[in-house]
Amino acid sequence: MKLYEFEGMQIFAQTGIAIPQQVVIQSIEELEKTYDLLRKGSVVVKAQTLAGKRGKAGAIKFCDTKSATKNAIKQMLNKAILNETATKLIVAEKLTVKKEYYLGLIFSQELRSPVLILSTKGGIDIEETEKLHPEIVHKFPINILEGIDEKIAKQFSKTAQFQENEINELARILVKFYKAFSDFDMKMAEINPLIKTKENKFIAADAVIVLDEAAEYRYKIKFPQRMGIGRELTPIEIAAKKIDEEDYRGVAGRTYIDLDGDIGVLASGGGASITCVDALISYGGKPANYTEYSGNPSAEKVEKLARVVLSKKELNGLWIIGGTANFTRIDITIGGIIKALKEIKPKFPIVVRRGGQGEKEAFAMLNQAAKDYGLDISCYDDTTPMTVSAKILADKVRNYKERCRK
Amino acid sequence: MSILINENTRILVQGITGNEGTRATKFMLAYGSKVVAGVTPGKGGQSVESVPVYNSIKEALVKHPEINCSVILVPPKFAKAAMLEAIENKIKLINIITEFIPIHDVAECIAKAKLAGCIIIGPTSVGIISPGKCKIGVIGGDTNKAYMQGNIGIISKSGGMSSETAYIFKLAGIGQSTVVSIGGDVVNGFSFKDALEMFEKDPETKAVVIFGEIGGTYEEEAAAFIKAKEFTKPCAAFISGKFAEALPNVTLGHAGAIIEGGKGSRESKVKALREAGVMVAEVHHELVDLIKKALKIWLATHILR
Repeated sequence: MKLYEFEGMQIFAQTGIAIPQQVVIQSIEELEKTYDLLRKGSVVVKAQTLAGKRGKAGAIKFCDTKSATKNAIKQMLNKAILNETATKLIVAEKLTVKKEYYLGLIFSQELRSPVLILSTKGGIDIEETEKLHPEIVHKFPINILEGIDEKIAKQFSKTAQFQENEINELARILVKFYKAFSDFDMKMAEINPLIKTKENKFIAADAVIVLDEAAEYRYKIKFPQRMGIGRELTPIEIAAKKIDEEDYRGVAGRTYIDLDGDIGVLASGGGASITCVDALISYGGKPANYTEYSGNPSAEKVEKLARVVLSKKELNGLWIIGGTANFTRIDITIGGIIKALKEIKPKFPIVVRRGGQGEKEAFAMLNQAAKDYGLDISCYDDTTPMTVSAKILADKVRNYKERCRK
Repeated sequence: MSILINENTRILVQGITGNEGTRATKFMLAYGSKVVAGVTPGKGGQSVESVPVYNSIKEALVKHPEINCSVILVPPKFAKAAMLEAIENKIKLINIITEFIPIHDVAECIAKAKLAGCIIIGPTSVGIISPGKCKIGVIGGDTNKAYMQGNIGIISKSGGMSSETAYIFKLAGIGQSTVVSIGGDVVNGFSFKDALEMFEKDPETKAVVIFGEIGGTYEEEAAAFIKAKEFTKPCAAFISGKFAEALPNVTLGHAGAIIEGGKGSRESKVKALREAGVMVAEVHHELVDLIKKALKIWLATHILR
């Protein structure tokens, strides 16, 4: 779960990493909160978005006066910035910058341990720095059984070519940074930049933090849920999510993403569903959505999900697809889908490829429904590879569209 | 032969009295796997499917010193303690079926396992099967219809797709030596490379299939290993997630399928694998033809030699 800057700052403040004096603003009425800061000097107004590169998107503005601050807030608050509505802003003291550094911690898959990344050049993307000056981006694998203590932190700072008189202070920050990373179950953390002020103070001027969802039960601070999709949810996506929240039996609709194609997808199983949508696209089909159900959900739950998928306008096909289920009941889940189909009676081709407990009964029900309600349903069991049924469907949809045109 | 597990594997189930543990135990016993003991703290003295339950691994080992493998099916909150207990008792092979274990816990346990000389497979693995010999975990469910003894090794990040991949080969008359579900978490105990290293030494394995997913670097690591000629048998791969790449920061089914900072993209994996001489299928079922072709060439060149 990616955190907003103001949430990350909360963690830093709690672990003893210095952050700028700042306030979080949610409405223009809170403008007064910024006056204390403005009395002392200039401020920076930062839109709170999950996406990075805010500077380039005009989401960070420096202001000297009350009126400039007010304008900046008006320009950003509740406005669409980087595919997101910025409902919160940070107004912070403008720091006097002597130097900008980069601190990062991330898990390396290959080493199976955290890696500390240090650079004496912060303030820009670390990828950029690495491209231009790889010699000043230093990576230190961390032994997770030992963590980072002051002694090793000093060694790292020295190796990363920080100045002699900075090393003690930096080492102390590194120890706290790693402690925050570990105590708060972070998958990734960045302080970019860590600013050295003219008064030689080190202050974290930004926070990019990704928490490990698997550790949510022990989070030391509870943060509100977010989808992390990089944009607002569509009404259909919200409807799909609700299905899963209202019924604990199995999973259906928890992941639902609107896509802009014309083939509805009701897929089962995480790995299988991704493999199948890839195949559909390879054969020229255009999925209207991605979604997945698994873990033996109830018939009602799958019926609701089917209704959500079928509610999309201008569909030209439907794909009911999944691998051989271990314990999702095929007859029960397909039964739910049939209920929705009977009512909606779509004219477009429907391709079903499923295997598992109750598949024969499910296929019989589908064939009966096709007869009774004039539906175009073709069923395939697991002797037809899943991705072969992608080709069958893509061809059928192409033919259907041609027929419609004539 | 086969890798990791065979007819000599003697299994301990950690979390045997839970729903998942009991279900897995039934599956394993039905397949003929030798499940000799189970552990659930506080439930010692009970039995599950006639398998005796102990309070601790230490107790279980007193009665069953032959145990050489543990399958962990405890809830995520208790997974770290279960893993550490298995490591402290030097169980050689530890297969973690549990999903959603915090990454810090996993990394710590992997570091400790390495020091103790234990192999951790998972988390988020569905298990391992050496068809006709042994299976551990829930792989294959109760039907095992996807599996058949043969000469292909399969390594898969996706649990469900380990069966689907095995099955398309079985339909073509090709069986498997061992199928390993390594799990799709950001950090896991056993990578494609680790499996390739073992498959290279296994005479029963003639070719290997990799089912990869976007995210992480295990596919690239495997490619480097093959390029360095550490693995020399025919290899084909499929990397899923092409469409997901158009959607940054969306988790689809598996935690590992997250793209962060553009690394671990499908393009980077496919490129690395192709450069190493691995055949990469664009659509999943094409894996079968690729392997058939590769086996023909491989057999021809080896006979010529």
